[in-house]
Amino acid sequence: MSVGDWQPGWIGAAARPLYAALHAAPGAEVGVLMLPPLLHEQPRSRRVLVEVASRLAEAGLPCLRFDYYGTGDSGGAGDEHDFASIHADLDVALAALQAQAAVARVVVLAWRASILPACTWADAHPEVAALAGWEPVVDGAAWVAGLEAADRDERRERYAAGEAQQVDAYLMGFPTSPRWRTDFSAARLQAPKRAPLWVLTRAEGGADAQRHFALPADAPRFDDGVGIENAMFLSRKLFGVVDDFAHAARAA
Amino acid sequence: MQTIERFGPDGRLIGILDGDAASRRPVLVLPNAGLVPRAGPFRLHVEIARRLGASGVRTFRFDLPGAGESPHLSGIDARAATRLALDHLQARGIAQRFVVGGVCSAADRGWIAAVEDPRVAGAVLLDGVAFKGPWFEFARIAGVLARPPRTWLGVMRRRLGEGSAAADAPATAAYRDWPTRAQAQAQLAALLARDARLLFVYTRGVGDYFRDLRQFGWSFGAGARDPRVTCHYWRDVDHTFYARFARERLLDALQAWYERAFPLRTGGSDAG
Repeated sequence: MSVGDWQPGWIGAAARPLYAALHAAPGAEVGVLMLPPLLHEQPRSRRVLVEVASRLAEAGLPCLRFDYYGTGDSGGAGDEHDFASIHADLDVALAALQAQAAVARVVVLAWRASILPACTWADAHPEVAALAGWEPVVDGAAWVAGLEAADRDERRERYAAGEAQQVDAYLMGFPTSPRWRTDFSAARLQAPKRAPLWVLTRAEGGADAQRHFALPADAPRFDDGVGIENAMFLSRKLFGVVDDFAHAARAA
Repeated sequence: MQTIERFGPDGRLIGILDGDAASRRPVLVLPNAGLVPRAGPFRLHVEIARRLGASGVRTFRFDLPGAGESPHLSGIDARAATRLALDHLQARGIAQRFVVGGVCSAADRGWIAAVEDPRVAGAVLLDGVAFKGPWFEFARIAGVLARPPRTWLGVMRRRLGEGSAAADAPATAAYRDWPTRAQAQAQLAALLARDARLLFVYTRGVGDYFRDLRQFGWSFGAGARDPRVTCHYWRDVDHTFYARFARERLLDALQAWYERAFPLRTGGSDAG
C-alpha cells in the first residue's frame, strides 16, 4: 500500500483557489472525482484518500482529489463553505478532471457526508457516469445532531465549565456557518435521477443503491471522534474492494 | 498568495508557501504535527498563515515523509525533511532565515532545527519540551488537596503504586524527541548566544508533564529569563486549540510575538 505519483496544483479562479491533486492514468476513458469528507473527518481521511486514489490510478483510472473552498489547503474560510459553495467547487473540479485527464465520463466517489450535496448536483451533470458513496451519511439531520452532541462532549472534556459552553459557531473544531448547518440538516441521501448510485459500506442496507461494495470490518473509520489513529491503516482486503470498485468504474 | 513548492528527492515532498513575496521577516516553517496533515490540527496552520500574513510573515507548511500526502522516503526522516525544506526555500531565494515549530512533535522539530541549523532564527514550541521537577510535584499535590478529602486516600494508593521516578525525567520521553534537562539548558544558552528568539506555549493538554509556570525556569535555567524567550502557560486551553477562544488567543500571541521578536527596520528588513 503506497502513495503513487501525483501532481498537485490549484484549480478554479485565482480569487477562489482550490487545492487539487491529480493521480494520472493515461489513455483512460473514465476518471474518478474524489470528494473528501467534511470537518474533522477530512484531515483524518487524508492519507486514506491518497492511497485509494493511488490504487485507482494504478488500475487505469485517473483520479482527482481536491479540498473544498474554506477547507484543507484551499482558499477561503470555513464559514464560507456550504451547499452552494460545494456545488460551485464540484463544477470546477469536474471540469478540471475532464480537462487534465482527457476523460469524458466521470465516476464521483463521495466520502461520507460529501454525498449529500453531490446527489443533487449530479442531476445537472450527464457526464457523471455513477455516484458512489464511501460509508455515506444517509440522514443529514441525524448526522448534524450527532456532531453537535460530539462537539459538546469534546468541549466538556477539553475545557472548564464556563469556556465549554461558549457559543462560537465552531463545530468539531471548524468554523461553520448557520447556512452550512441548515443545508446539511435538511439533506437526505437520494439516488440521482440519471446516474446509478453505488455505496461502499460495512453493512448492507441504509441506502437504495444499485450496487454495494462490502468494506471489510477493519476498514478505517472517520466517524468516531477526532483522533487520527483509527483512520490511518489500510488492509489488503480493503484494497481488494478498491480494485472491485475500479473494475466497475472502468465499465461505467 | 499561496504557492505549491515541491522539494526533496524527485520533488516528492509538497509544501504550501503562503504570504507576500515582499515579506522581510523570517519564514515560519510548520512541519505537520504527528499524523495530522499539513493544514494543521483543525486547520490551525492555515489560520496561522492568514493571521501572520497580515503582519507580513510568510509561512511554509508541509507534510513530513509518511504523513498526509507524503510518501515514505528511504533515508529521509523528519529531521532530514525539515532541513530539506529550509534548503529548498533558501535555494529558491524565498528566505535566508527561518522560524520553525508547531504543536507537539512539530515543536520538537522546531527545537532540533534551531539547535542544529544557524539559519533558524527562532522557534515556536507549542506544548514542546519541558521537565517536571519540584514545581510539577507541587502543582500535582496542590491539585489533589483541592479535591474533596475523601479522594485523598485513593490518590495516595495510586501514587505509591507508581513508584518513584527521577525528578527531571520527562514523562513523555518514550515518544518525544527531547534532550536531557542539562542538554536543553546548554542548547538554549547556545541559541541565545546567536541571538535566537523563542516562543513557548504550554497548555493543559500536557498536564502529564507541565502544571506550573515555574517549571519553565527550572527546566531551562537562566536562559528562561532572557527577554528573547517568551513563555505562556494556558491551563484553560487544550492541546490542539479546538474552540474559537483558544485559537484566537494563540493567533494573537503568535502575531504579537513575531512582530516583537522580528521588528522591521526602517526600510523594511527585519532587525531580528
